[in-house]
Amino acid sequence: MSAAPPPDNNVPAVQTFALTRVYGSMIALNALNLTVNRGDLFGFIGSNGAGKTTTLRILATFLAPSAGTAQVLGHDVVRDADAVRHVIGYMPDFFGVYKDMEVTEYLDFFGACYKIPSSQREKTVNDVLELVGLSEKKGALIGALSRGMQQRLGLARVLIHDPQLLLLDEPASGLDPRARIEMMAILQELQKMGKTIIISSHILSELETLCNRVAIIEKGKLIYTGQAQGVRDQMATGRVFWVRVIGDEVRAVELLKARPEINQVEQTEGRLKVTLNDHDTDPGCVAETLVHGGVKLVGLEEEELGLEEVFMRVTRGETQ
Amino acid sequence: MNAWPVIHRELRAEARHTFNYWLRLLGVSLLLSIFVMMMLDPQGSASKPGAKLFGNLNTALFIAIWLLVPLLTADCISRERREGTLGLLFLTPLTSRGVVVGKGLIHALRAATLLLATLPVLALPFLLGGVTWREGVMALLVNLSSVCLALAAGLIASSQCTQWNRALFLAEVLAAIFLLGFGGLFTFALLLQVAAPFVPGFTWRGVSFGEMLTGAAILCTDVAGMWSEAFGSLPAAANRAWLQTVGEGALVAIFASGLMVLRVARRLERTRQEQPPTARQLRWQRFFLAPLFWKSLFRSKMRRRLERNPVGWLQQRSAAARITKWGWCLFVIAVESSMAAEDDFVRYQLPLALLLILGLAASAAGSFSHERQSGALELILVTPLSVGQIIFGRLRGVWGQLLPALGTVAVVCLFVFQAGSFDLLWPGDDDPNNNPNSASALFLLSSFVTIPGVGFYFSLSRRHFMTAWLLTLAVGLVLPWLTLWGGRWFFFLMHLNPLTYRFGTGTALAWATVLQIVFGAATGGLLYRNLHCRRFVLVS
Ligand SMILES: Nc1ncnc2c1ncn2[C@@H]1O[C@H](COP(=O)(O)OP(=O)(O)OP(=O)(O)O)[C@@H](O)[C@H]1O
Ligand SMILES: [Mg+2]
Repeated sequence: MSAAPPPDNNVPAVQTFALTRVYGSMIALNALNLTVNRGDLFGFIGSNGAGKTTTLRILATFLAPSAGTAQVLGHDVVRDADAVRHVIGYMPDFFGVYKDMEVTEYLDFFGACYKIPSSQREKTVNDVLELVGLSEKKGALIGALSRGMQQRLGLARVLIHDPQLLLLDEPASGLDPRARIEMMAILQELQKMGKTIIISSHILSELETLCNRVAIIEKGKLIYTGQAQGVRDQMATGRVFWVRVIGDEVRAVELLKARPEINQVEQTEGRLKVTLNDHDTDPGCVAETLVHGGVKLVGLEEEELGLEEVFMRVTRGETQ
Repeated sequence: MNAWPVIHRELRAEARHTFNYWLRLLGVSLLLSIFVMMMLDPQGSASKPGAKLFGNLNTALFIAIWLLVPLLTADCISRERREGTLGLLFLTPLTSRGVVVGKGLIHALRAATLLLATLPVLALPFLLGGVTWREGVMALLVNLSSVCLALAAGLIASSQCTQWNRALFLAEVLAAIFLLGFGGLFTFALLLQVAAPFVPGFTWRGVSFGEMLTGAAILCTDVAGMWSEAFGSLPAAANRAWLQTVGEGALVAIFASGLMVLRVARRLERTRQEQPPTARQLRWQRFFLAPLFWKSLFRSKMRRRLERNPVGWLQQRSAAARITKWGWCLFVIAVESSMAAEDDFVRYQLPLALLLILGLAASAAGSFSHERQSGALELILVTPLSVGQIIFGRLRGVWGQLLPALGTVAVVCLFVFQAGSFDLLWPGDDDPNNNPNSASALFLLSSFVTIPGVGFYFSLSRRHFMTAWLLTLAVGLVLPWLTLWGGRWFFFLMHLNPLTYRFGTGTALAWATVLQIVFGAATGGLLYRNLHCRRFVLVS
């Protein structure tokens, strides 16, 4: 049940060139250039209406781009749609289930759609159900499954033809914490098996630990792409330091405010919050200023910015 | 009772649908085409052209009301239930009565605008003369009662069902029952109050069931201007009694439909939560619907079908699909056997086949909407299934659903012709040389082949089932005939062609078949292209 071999092993899993999609007069995707390498667990982040679903739909060959091109494992999503369909597994942000079908029947149906020979299908269905933890619900009607179970069924469906690239649109949104952790474990396992996974989500803190690379888009434009761990360093427009001094805090504030590299100084709870102008500013200037001005410096630590905070800063909640 | 928010919301939603404008346009053009056809008909200009025209227009309107109003109303509550907004409505201080009455009023308004749009055309016969105010008032009252009853049928169906196709089906069945009940009671009242006292020589014994039906049809619709003829032959007192009976009938109809709407509201209050089937229901379902005999044969047949074409399997797997299939077949058998004793048995075959074609168009036009609503369409389209597989899987499913029923009709026709009855399937005067029977059969066959493709095309490109269905019928059935008549008139006016002589029914049918195949092929090509490029309306 292996998928068709890609033409070249060195091409990235996904590459888009000025990908654009317009709905009427609304530009949902605006010249997006995105590269996802093979073996990545790639987080795709954006606020509501940023264009995540649109991107994934185009990559899944479900939607045609208005302009630009996209390649999945070297196949063009428009010209080579059929080849792309063999190697991807797409899980939309809704379930797409037939409520009057049984769980195995549903997977069997999609197995047949992917042309898995019937002799293998039963085993495959059992395997994927085992993997997502739905084995004991085999004969249940899908309509009677809970939301999280339906979501797991969706994941099982995606895995049924053993695709190389998984496109998952908010796969964890309906899961309980335990199931979420389990799903993350499954995804990591799949990554170890060599699959490329693109996952869009709002649950940023999870993406941070899960993904090795992330992209942030806003209003259809890419505003960041790179290492998940490096996001803070790159995106934190001004690094923030917490400073503790003994003695005249007012004087310390005056001294710091006089420096051009320093953007903002606030006094809170006996500490000073110092925001630098930009990422490249040398943080040494804070200590230097205080020491030269004769203020006793007893503590200086940098504030850790989480992905969430970065996200908030970058997107400023702008939606279209 | 507070219905205003519901009315407000519906009004806004309705204003956004271009469907309403199209519907009005369709209504007006339908009436206009009847008008034009009657004017062109050489026999039509005999006596009292106004009265006859009025009668025919009113008949068309009457049929349109009973056909369209239930269909348009049928999904109004079931849709809210399906999308989960019904529960939300009930969490607000709105009562179920407010919801139902609001919905009913909106759809009454919609029907009223349809009537209003047709008024200018209905006024034409008055200008031609021969129509009195009496007929105007009677037509208004009868149509008003029809609208109320048809609305009630739609609302009841909508409150009972969750799936739209079931709601539509139930709405039409209820409408048929209401129409029969209303027509029967109304005719009975008229016989009692007008015929018995005023028509000399009238006896209850002499009325057969067939006469009763024909009488009811005439009394309700004024077809061919029969009212005006009857007015002329009856004394003035009888006319007054007639009008009074019509008024009373309308009051009863309005009152009855009001009561039914209130009952619907009460029921909705109780059943607003969607209950899963109980264990007992499941057991019964399994008992009745699961195949009892040759289980393993059935299973292996379904398996093979799944291997060959998953999309085709999808359409045939459910019990509902089997019920529809054999339901149609049973319906046809029932109609055939009840008609078998009639003299002009053959004449019923064509309307019956056309009814089946309407059903075929409906199931094609609605075929992708279920998938689109559940989102499964998106999943199917990203699998490597080819476009051909998707289309043919669906085609086989839709054909399979109506094949037993249509096959029954075909067998009956063959049998009748074998037995030596050479009546015509298609009405029309003809010389035996251009065989209209085989031409009719050919036309029906090509309808059977082409209409599903047209239906799929509109099912993917239109958001609403009704639009898709009407467009399917327009392109698949009406357009070939329109083109044919348009072409004939063009050639006639241009003095270009030997076609100016009246050609027989057989030839006309053959031409219509050719045109139908051409249009069907064109739409099929568009369908293929759209599916290939994944171009269609996404949201339902
Ligand atoms: N079928 C459609 N017709 C018109 N506009 C659409 C359609 N689908 C999406 N859009 C618009 O495109 C933009 C991007 O939508 P998209 O669904 O890609 O956002 P998203 O990032 O997935 O948002 P969310 O986080 O809410 O899922 C939105 O502004 C939306 O309004
Ligand atoms: Mg989305």
